[in-house]
Amino acid sequence: MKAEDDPVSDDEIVLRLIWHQFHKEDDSLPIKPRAFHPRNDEATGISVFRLACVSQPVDVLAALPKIENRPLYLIAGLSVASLRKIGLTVTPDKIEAVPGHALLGELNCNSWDTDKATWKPKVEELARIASGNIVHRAGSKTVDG
Amino acid sequence: MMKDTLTLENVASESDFLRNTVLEDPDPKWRKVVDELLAARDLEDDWDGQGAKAPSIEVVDTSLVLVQKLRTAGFAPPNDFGPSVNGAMTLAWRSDTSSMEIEVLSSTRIEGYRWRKGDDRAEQFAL
Repeated sequence: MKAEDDPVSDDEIVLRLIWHQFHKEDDSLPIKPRAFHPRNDEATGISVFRLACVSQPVDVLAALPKIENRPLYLIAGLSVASLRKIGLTVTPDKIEAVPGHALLGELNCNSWDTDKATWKPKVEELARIASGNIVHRAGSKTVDG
Repeated sequence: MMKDTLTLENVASESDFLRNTVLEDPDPKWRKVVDELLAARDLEDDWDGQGAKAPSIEVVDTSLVLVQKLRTAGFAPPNDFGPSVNGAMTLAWRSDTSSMEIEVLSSTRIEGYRWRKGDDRAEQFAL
């Protein structure tokens, strides 16, 4: 495992929590771009987690404050190299709940609101990459049961 | 792709139209769209447990009126539809070569975007 302070390298994978309603298994694009829209308070970027900093992907569900919501999320992986190709950088941003929290700083609520024309194709590409690498499905059993 | 200029002023005055047409759509694909948009009326803030903003009733109703107008104008049902985490309602159409999204942000602010696969930027269009 990597330490949170270790630099983020291109060969790493980051994990994104996906609300279950942003996933439709039988669609050509199963994970919806809405899963990557910044919230109104995400001024510093949307959240991801470095896989290298946790022992298994489901560990990142602990970042959700309400335990009852944890079965309602799936987890998708995105390679740091693929993010870099679309102009996104992974910046470590420590939180208490889970090691390896990081931000995709360029994709924040302010840049989203002012330049959606640029972000729309990029966010669709994020959804495409994530759709090809779902590592945990909503409702799947976790270590905590 | 847009066939008509859509006018969405005075959404409240559309309420009868909404009840009598959108809510009773016989096409199951459009009905699914309407059902999902209607379900968004019941959302409260923090509906995803991570602080998502609920769309206002005004935004939901505007999206329903828009859906009916698009249906009347001959559009296919969207592939993706529903609330975004920032309080907007989104309708999206995707094919192998192009995409189009409409975001309803209020009864008077509706944004449309379309792009082709490989484009760096979407083209914004007015509704």
